[in-house]
Amino acid sequence: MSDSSCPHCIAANQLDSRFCESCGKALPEPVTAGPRIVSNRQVAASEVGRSLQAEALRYQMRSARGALLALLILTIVSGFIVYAASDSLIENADFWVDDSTIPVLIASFIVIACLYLGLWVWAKVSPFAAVLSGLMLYITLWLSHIINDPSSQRNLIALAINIVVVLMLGKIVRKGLVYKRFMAHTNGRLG
Amino acid sequence: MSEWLHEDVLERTAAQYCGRCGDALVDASCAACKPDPADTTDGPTIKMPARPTFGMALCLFGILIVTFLPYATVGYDSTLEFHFGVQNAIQIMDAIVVLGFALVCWQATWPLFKTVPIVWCLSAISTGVITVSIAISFVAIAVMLTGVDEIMTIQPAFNAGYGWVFIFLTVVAQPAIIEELAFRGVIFDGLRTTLSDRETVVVTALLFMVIHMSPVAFPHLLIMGLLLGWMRLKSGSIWPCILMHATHNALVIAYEYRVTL
Repeated sequence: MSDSSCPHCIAANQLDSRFCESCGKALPEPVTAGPRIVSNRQVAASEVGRSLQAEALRYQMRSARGALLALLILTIVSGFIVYAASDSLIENADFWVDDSTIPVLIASFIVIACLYLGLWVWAKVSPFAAVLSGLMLYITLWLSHIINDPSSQRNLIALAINIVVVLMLGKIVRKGLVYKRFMAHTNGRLG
Repeated sequence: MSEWLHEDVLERTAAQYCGRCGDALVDASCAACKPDPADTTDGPTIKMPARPTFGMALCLFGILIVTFLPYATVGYDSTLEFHFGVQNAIQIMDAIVVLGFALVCWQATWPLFKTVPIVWCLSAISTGVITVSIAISFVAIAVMLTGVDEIMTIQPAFNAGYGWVFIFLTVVAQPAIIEELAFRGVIFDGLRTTLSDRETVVVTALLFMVIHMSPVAFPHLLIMGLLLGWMRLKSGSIWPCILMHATHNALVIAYEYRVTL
């Protein structure tokens, strides 16, 4: 039987109707067996939901800060390597060099390290935005480095490190994006 | 007999109220919860996004990175014809890409060109003067610490046979309009769908900074990007950003002319 009767006027209504089509009064919710289905918004507003959100945010912050700290250390170490090997770098460079090349490179590493430090501090408040910025910054500088000195990618260790860093940051950004979308949907910002 | 009566009563009568919301029906349809007209069309429909999405913002930034990369191939040992050929090609390509994205999301892009009070225009010009002062200071410090040569714009253009109109179009107008439409227009609105306003301003400024691919110039570019983003956020229009960026670039040219020629 696909119809249900209204308790007020006994008129027939479809099972999925919420109001009676004859008298306009609210129909009782059909009783279903099994666990009660709740919406995302109800889960988010409950105590369990809030602790789940806090847990996801803490994980997101820890992984974002960890990744950005790794980038900062990598940049500092790379800067020291460039400084220590500056003479052989100039001798073997495939690109145009002059007296300002090494100072400019060192200054660039200092600026980039300061940027990653700033992102690491910012990640405490906005982990997703900080790690997204870090990823975009890293990819752009890596591509610029490849164009400036294509032979640098012949070093397989450096290439592997670059790929691992991009994959790691990409994974954190993807997880953060899923969490952001869930939060926006739960708070009713999305349709 | 009671069963027959029960069946007779249960026979459905014409609906007078909506089963979804309980409102009275008018002409057998509910005015409160009428279906989406898009659902009733036949065949597949292509819906253009009303505003830029997060993915579109990152996609546009990725395309701009790829188009800016050839700048790195232009070195001190390349000829002037090659240098300006690459630069002109990049600028034309960027303009086409950015205008394409802006046209696709024209419903969100068009309102950005709303007029603003004169106070915003004056603030934009003043801020442009401040940012160019910061840029000149930072560049002077970089030259002092590293010994790097400052990048000249006017003299190479004159040597290649170009004039002031070319310099204005390629250094002042195109970067101001196209970069602002990209970063404070499409990318700003796209990132705002996922990030908060403050996060959007900072991330957009970082993207604007990094696309210039000159780490020594990052500090003043970041400051400039933050001010541009703040202006876009508070005014809701792109005109103050275009004005500020154009003022900054024009004053850089004026400073170079004053110092070198």
